[in-house]
Amino acid sequence: MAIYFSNAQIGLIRRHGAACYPNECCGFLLGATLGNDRVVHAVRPVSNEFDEARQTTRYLIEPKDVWEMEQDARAAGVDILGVYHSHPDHPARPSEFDRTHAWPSFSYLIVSIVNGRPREVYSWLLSESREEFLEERITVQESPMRAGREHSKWR
Amino acid sequence: MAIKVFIPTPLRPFADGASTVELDGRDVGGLLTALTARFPKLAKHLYQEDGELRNFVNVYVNAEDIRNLALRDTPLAPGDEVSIVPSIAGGAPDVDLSKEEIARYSRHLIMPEVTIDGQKRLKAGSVLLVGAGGLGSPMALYLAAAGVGRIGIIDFDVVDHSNLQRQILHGTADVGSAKLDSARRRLADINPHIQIDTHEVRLTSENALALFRDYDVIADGTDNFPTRYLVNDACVLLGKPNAYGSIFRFEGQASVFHHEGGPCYRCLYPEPPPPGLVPSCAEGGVLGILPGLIGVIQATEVVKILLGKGRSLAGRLLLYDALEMTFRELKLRRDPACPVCGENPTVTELIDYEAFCGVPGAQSSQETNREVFKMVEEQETALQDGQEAEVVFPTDIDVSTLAERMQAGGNGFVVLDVRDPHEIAICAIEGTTRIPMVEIPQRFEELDREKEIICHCKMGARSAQVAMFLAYQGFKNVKNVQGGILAWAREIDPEMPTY
Repeated sequence: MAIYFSNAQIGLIRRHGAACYPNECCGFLLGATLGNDRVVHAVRPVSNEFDEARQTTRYLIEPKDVWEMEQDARAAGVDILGVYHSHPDHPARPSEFDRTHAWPSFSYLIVSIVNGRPREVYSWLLSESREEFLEERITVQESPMRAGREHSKWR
Repeated sequence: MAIKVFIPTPLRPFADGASTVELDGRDVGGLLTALTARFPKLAKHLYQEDGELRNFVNVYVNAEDIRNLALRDTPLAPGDEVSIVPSIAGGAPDVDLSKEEIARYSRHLIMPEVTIDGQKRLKAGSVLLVGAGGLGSPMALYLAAAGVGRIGIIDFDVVDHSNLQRQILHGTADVGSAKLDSARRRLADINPHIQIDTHEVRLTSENALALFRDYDVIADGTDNFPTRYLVNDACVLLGKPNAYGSIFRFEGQASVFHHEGGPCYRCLYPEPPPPGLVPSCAEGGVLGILPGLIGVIQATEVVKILLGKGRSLAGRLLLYDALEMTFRELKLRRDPACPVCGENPTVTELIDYEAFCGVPGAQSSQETNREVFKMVEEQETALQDGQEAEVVFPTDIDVSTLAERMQAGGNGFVVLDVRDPHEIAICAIEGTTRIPMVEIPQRFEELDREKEIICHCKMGARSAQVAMFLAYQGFKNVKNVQGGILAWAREIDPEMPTY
C-alpha cells in the first residue's frame, strides 16, 4: 500500500504550505489506483474556505469545489485520490478533528510547516472502523508516474 | 419512481464502486434509507452515531442543497437528480495551555525562541524513548518537565540494585518492580499535564514500525547493537528523526540521525562490531553521571526538533570524555551507498538484528565460536604458526555442572577466571586460577596443557574469546562457562554480591 508522487508534486505541496503559513493550505490529489497502490498524476491547490480567523488550525474545501473537481477529474479520466493540507507549527500527524472529519478511502497527505519552512510529509488513510488513521507509505519518483507505464516494476 | 443518485469518489468503494445508482424514494429521507439498505457499509460514513447526517456530508437535489430546501422531507419527482457532495475539512490540533500550564512553563514562554507557540508545539509533540535505563531516565525526566505532550517509553525490565547508580527515574523502593511502573509514577508526579504511554515489550522487528509510527521523534537509549540497528532502520523506514546517545565507562557520544537530510547510524557504522569485541556497560562499567549528561543532550535535541529551533546534531557526532572533560565534534556525511538510507537501499524492511549482530543464541554456539575464532585469527596473526588444523573448538559448560565438578574435586581441570582484579575484588569463585584477559597472551603458558581449562568471566563473552584463544594455542580441552559469574551467583550462590 503506497502512494506515488513526483518530486515536483511534493515540491508544489511543500511550497503551497509555506506560502499559506501561518494558515493551512489545502488541495486535491488526482490520479489512478492500481491494486493497493495509488499514483498521483496531478496536485491541485484549492482555496481554504474555513473562517479566516481560524485558518491557522483549520481548512475547509467547499462542496462546490469538490463537485467541480469531481467533474473535471472525470473529464480528465482520473480520480480524486485524496487531499493534502498543511499543519503550521505542528507535526504532520492527523488531529482528532482530521479523524472525525475524514472521508474513507481518501489519502490524507499532511505537510508540517515549521516557522514557515516545510518539514516532513506523511500520508494517512482512515481505518475501516473510523477509529484511527493508518500511515500510507509515500514513494517519491524523479518524474511523474503514469498509470500503466512500467507498472510491474514498482508493484 | 427511480431517482439517480451520484456517489462521490470516497464513498464508491462502499457502493460496489458505482458512481451513480438508481433508487426509489418519495423524498430525500426515503431515498437515503433505500441507499443505505442497498449499501449498508455507507451508513457509518454518512451518519453520526445519533443518526444525523455528518456535517460534512452535503446532499443536493439537482443544484440545491437540501439545507436550503426541506432537509430530509424534501420531495422528489421523477427526473430529479440527487448528489451526495462532500465538503472536506480538517486541520492541526487545537492546543491550548491552561492557566496552570502557563504558570508552569513561564520560564519557557518568556524566551523569544519558545513563546506560547513553541510551548504549544511541545505539547502537540510526542517522543518515544527506547529504554528506561541510564539514558532514558534523564531524557524522560527533563522531557516531561519541559512539557512534551506525549512521552512513550519501551522497556520490559525490572529495577535492579545495580541500576540505581545512574538510572535516576527509579528509587531504592522500586527494586524488583517494573521499570515502567516507577517511570510512570515519577513522570506523572513531575508533570500531570502530559500523557505517558508505556509499552512493556521487547522491541523487535515485528513490533518496531507499529510502535514508532505514532511518535514524532525517537530517542535511542539502548545498550546493545541489535536494538540500536533496529531503532535506526525503523526510523529510516518511517522517516523519523533518531536522537541518539551511547555511553561507555567515561565516554559518551550523541547525534541526531536521519534528520534534515543527514546521515543515519549505518552511514557511520555500516556493520556492527564482532560480537564480544565491544563490552556492554554491564561488562565494562559506566560512570553513573555520564548517562545524565548524554541523556540530557539527547533530550535537548528532541526539544529543538519539536520546536523547530536551533542547529541540530544532524550530521555531527559529539564525543564527550568525562575523565578529560572534553567535547569533540566529528562531521558525519550521509553515505550514498548506505544500505538503509542510501540511493539504492538494500534494507527495505526490518531484518533479524540478533543474527545481523552475531549475538549468541541467534545462531549456534559453534557458529559463534567460529566467528570469535576468526577474530582471534585476525588479531593474533603473529601467534599463528599454521596450527589451524589442530584446533579443537571449546564447548560450553553450565554453572550447575561446574559446581558439581568443583564439589567432586580432582585435579584434572583448572577453573580460569579472566576478569580484572577490581572485578575479582567484588566477588569470585573460590579455588579459581586468575589471569586477566589482557595478560593471557603473555601468560597462557602458565596453564597446564594436559588439563581441562574451564574459563569464566562476568557474563561469558570475554571468557569465550579467551577459550578460543587457548584452543588456538593448542589446548585440546577448553570450556567456557555460560553466563559467567552472574549465572553462578544466580543459581549456585545467591549470597554472592554481584555487579
